[in-house]
Amino acid sequence: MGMQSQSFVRVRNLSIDIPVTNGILHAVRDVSFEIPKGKTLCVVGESGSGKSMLALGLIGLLPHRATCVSTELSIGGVEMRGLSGAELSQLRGRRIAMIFQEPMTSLNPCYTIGDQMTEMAVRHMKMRLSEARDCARQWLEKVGIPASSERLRQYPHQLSGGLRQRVMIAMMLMCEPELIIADEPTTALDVTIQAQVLHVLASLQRELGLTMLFITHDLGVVSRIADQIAVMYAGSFVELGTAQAVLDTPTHPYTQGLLACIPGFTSKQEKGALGTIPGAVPSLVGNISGCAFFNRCPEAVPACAEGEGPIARRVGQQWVRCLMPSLSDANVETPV
Amino acid sequence: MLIYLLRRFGLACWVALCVSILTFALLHFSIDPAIAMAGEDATSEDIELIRIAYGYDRPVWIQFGEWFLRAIQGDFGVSPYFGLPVQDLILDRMPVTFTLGALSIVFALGFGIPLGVLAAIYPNTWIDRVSLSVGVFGQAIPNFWFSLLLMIIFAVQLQWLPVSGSDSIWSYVLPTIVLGTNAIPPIMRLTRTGMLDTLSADYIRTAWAKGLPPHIVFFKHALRNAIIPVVAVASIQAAHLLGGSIVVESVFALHGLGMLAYESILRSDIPTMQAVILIFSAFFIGFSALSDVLNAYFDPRIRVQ
Amino acid sequence: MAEILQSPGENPADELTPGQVLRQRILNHQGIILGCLLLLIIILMALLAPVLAPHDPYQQVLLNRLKPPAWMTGGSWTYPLGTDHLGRDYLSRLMYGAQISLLIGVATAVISGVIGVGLGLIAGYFGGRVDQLVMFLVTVKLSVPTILVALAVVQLVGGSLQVVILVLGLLLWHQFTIVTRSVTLQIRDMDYVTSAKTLGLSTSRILFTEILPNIANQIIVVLTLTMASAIVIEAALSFLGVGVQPPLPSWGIMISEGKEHIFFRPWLVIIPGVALLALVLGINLLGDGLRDVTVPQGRS
Repeated sequence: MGMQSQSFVRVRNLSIDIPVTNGILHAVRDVSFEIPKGKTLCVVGESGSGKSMLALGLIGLLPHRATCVSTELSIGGVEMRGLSGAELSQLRGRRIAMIFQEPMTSLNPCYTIGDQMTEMAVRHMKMRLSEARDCARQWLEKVGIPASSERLRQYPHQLSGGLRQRVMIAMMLMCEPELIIADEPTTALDVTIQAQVLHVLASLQRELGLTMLFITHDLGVVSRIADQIAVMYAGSFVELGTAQAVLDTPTHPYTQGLLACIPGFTSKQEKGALGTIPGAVPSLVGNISGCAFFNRCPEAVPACAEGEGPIARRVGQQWVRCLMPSLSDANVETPV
Repeated sequence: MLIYLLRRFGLACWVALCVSILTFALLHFSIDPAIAMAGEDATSEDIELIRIAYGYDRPVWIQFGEWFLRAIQGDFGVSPYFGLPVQDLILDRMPVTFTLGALSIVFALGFGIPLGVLAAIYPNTWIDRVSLSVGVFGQAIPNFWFSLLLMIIFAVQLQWLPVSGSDSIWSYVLPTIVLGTNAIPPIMRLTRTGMLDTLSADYIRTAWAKGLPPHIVFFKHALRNAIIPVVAVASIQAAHLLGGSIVVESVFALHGLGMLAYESILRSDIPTMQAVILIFSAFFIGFSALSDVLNAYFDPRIRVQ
Repeated sequence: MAEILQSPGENPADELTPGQVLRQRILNHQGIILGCLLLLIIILMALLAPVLAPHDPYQQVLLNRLKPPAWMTGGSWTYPLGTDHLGRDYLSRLMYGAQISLLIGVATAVISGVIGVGLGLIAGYFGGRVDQLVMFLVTVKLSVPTILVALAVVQLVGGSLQVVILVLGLLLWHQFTIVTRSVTLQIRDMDYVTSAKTLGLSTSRILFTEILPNIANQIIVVLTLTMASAIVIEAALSFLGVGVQPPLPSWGIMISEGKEHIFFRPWLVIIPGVALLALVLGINLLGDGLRDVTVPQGRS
């Protein structure tokens, strides 16, 4: 329990449903996790696994028709459930920041970088405009953008994708938040730029002691920054544990499959055989009977297709949601 | 930006030249101007005299050249019906039409933009439906009949406003409502779709994630982007209002340019007709050029390279 | 997010043919239904005027001048909508007036459609210089004050049904050109057009058999909206005394004649105006609705 009290983010049984034309889309299904203060949790999954919805759900930016239920959702000791819109908007940008995937479209084309940065500080830090400009300039330099005074007068379309994402990081960190949620922040960038932006983000995170929820489908990125890893499939976490445990001893067949897709990543992998996972993510509309990974799983047994699907069990260092016929019951314990 | 402006201006001049050639030719092929001027009872000798006196016997392109060169210097000849220089008539009537046009476009923007914004912020609610109906009716209602309807209600039944004339500012109220209503639907629809589009844009999600309050997100971040095409369309609508002024000014007996056009047409007063058509086209061309310039000015992606 | 929301195989719309989907969208669209209803009433009025009209629309009965409609005091069911200043039956005139409005609308839309679609096809298919020239023509056309020029030309040539139709047809083609051109540009380079070209089909054949059917939807939409404009402009011209000439029962003329009596007999203005509004509203609702349902992603 001592460990839990230090957790900055605590989420229990979070589910997100979105009504769509042909039913209800269960984007996130019964997800629980904690992030200790100053640590990074990486959520990994294919596109369509519900990871972006999870991020939006945490800061209350889901589409209006979506419903988000959980038994606990606290960030920095504040229970987020039941907060009014105004209370939420006081937290957003101030204590919780979010960085999005699309740097090209995530900044308002009609306002200068300066306008968009200063309005944050004016709103949350109650700064005067001149103070806010100084602050914005300092932050631009912290993320490695020289000639900051000039940049403040420019419009987003005058900047490259990498620069825009740095501006985004600077803007979101300006009010010194405690938690940063990054939704695939480097996916849309060139590979070299990706590395630079990731470096900026990771070093600032260490320097400021930020807690981070990092969403990606790129396991290469995960291995560089994660303290903990959650593997998401069809709206649920199928495996959750420390970075080392998940990367060294992947237990869920899906995690194993993902790692096998990366050249030279795991020791288990036979030399020269680069794996793929056959099949596609199942539709998230309606209920899934049995395990969602059943139709693609190399180790599936008939029992996997039945019932509500497997519950999360502790296997060694990590939580795994799998019936796992290959594992003996001795080292399996069920959650409290 | 300067090059853009110059090119836009060049295009406008070309269009103006073509429009004037076209309308000049159209009027001249519609009727023999000498016959139009002489009237129905004239003998063939009279017509011939007029034809020679006014130079209508020369080739059409020479007549056009002479008329056009004078026209760009502000000399439109003398109106046979009014017996006055056409340019004096136009200058005399312009203020009324300008007042009416300005009031109407302000009225249209004042109703169209808020309605469109509300409809977009609260989609599929009663506000959305009201604005939709206003749009549908505003588009379908014939303006001459709407004028009469307002006249029946406010001038005849309630007697709040004068029936017609241009004596006081009150005379402008009903014509403004009629002309403005014509321009509301396009402005409102464009605001609504523009707002709906921008509200689902990534940068609006960013604005919410920054923890900005709703009024800043809606009015600073969303409206600023949604308004760009609206400004351009408002400029085009201003030109269309002038076209509508012919009908509305005639109904309300407002002595503006539209009324002048109508009078000259009824009397087959060709010099005045030609001048008014040229002026109206010039406004159309000017406003559509203005629309492009405004578009460029309000969109930093075009303005700042 | 887009990927999550698409779920192959479970969408009921997948099992329907495109035609069925379109029919369903049309039946679910309130605007189209209301528009069709209004339009149908007026078309029936026009077609059945010779059968249903209680009186000859031109017959003047001076003893029965300015009778009010039946539901007002002094009215009688002999003249359900009353009579005008010459003692002509208002309902009969209204019904025959529908014929004029519809005729003007359809004829004008067809003429301007032929001109506009032709120019648009040429511009879109050939592109380059030809396209620039056509678009310049459109710009010039857009700069011509439509009502003013229509008034002037009709007045000078002499007002009649044919003249009004011809003049409006020549003034309202630009929308067809703009729509046809942009759609043609889009589909010009698609596979089936390219393959038609490599098969050696003649240009005119490609235009008419490959491209025209694909832009039919959009053209129908523009056709309806042009009809509405033509009907309103004709009514305005006739109202101003420069369009169709009396004694033809154009609704514009009826409103104009009723204007003399707005102080004491406002229904003379209101009745034909409501008919005109209903017709234009019906056509617009239908046109807007068709545009909604024929765009690839139907708006909800």
